[in-house]
Amino acid sequence: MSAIASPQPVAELYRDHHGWLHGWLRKKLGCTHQAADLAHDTFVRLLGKAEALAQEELREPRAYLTSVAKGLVYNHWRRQQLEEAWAETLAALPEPQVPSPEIRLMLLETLIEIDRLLQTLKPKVREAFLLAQLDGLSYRQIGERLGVGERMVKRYMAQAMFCCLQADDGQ
Amino acid sequence: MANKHAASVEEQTILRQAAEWFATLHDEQLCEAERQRWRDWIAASPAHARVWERVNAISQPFARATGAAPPQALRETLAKAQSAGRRHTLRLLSLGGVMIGTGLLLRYTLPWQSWQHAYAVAHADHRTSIGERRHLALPDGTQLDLNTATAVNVDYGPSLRRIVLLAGEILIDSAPDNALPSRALVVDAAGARLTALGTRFAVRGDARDGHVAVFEGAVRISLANGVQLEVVAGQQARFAAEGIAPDGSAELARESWTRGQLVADDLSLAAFVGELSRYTPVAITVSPQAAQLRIVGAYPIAQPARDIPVILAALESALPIRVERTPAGGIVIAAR
Repeated sequence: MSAIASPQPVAELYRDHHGWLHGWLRKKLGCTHQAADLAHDTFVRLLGKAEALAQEELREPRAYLTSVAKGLVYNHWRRQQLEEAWAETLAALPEPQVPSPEIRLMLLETLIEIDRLLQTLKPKVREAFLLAQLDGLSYRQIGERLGVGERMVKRYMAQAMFCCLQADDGQ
Repeated sequence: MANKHAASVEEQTILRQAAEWFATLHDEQLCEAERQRWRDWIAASPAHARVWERVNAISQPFARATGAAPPQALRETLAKAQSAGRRHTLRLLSLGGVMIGTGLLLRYTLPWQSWQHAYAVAHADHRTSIGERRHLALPDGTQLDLNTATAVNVDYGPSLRRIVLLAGEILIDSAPDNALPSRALVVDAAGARLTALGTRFAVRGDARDGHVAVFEGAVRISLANGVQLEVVAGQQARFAAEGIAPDGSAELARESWTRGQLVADDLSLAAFVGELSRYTPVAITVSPQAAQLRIVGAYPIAQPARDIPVILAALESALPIRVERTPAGGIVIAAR
């Protein structure tokens, strides 16, 4: 159990596998610049995980690299989807309700953060949680909207927070 | 490895308990005994307190988004992205834990408050434009007057009648509450809370500075730092989040606008023009030579577009000044 926090293994990984990872990402993304960015981000991320690298993951370096890279690719797609959905929503808002550009950008980042937390929630749990947290509705009001009892809403809320806490753990 | 696993089972139990408490605290029917049990749970172990901090941290992005955009628009965006992403989600769910940090977000936290304020003003429940005045009768019978360029939210809940002054100036003629038990009437403005103690009073303020003039009854100003001051009928005070300062006798001008009158009780021309400027988008400037001339009188301001030229003409004939229009559409007042 030697936990040596050294960038050495990352440097080795970079030398041996960076070209391969870039090729793998290019195939996935279809864009060499994005692939280069994400390959870079993958290694930056590994620098924070020197301890894990010193252990079993290194036995399959390419499998480990692709698992980290996949997470980043996923985030990249997810961000695009949210950007598009947010632009659509804004376009449909009546003029006086459209926020300023700075607020729009801030809200996009906040939405990405919220989306990340809520990813694994079941639809009703997610809806109940959002109605409570964004709309400030009471359990009774949420229950009426979703067609369930107040006690069920409370259970949804606990489930939602539990999943958020777990998602937050992977940060 | 076995140890690590055991620790994570214990950790999961704490997460579950914290989630339960979160759901319990959000329940409107929470009783004090239960709240006390929650406090006991937090105090029982540093691990509990740490996890509770994470619960609070998770609530933060929601708090940030609320009030900055219509909740429905936010929920719609998330739902759209969710259905678009379902395919990818299924494929990549197992990797969901790996995430990009939120560094970008941090850059925006400092100027955030002023944006939030500008946004809140633009989306207030009740708003008047420059030069406009409006009278509202609230559900409890309280009368609310909005002066020029004013934004307020009216938030009547089960335990509080709350009016939030975001910008501009209001006059409140409070009515006793018809609900039982009767709810306090408060005005939140410029980082302070004003509690009406059976009264008629005017509040003026923006995000930072506030002013209150009391005409009947009394108003208690409370700041978040614990400082309080009771302002009684006939008095006025200035306040901000940092402090409160008495400001002499309540000026008639703080009430007369509700009758469409601008009252100058020995004001300098500069101060008078400052008041006048609130009612018009036209820029009015006063030359330094004319700025210290004194003004006494009551001027009609019910319809600013019609009344302001009349006021300026009256000033020109009464004082040694010249009123000139600039090519850009502004007005300059210079000494003759």
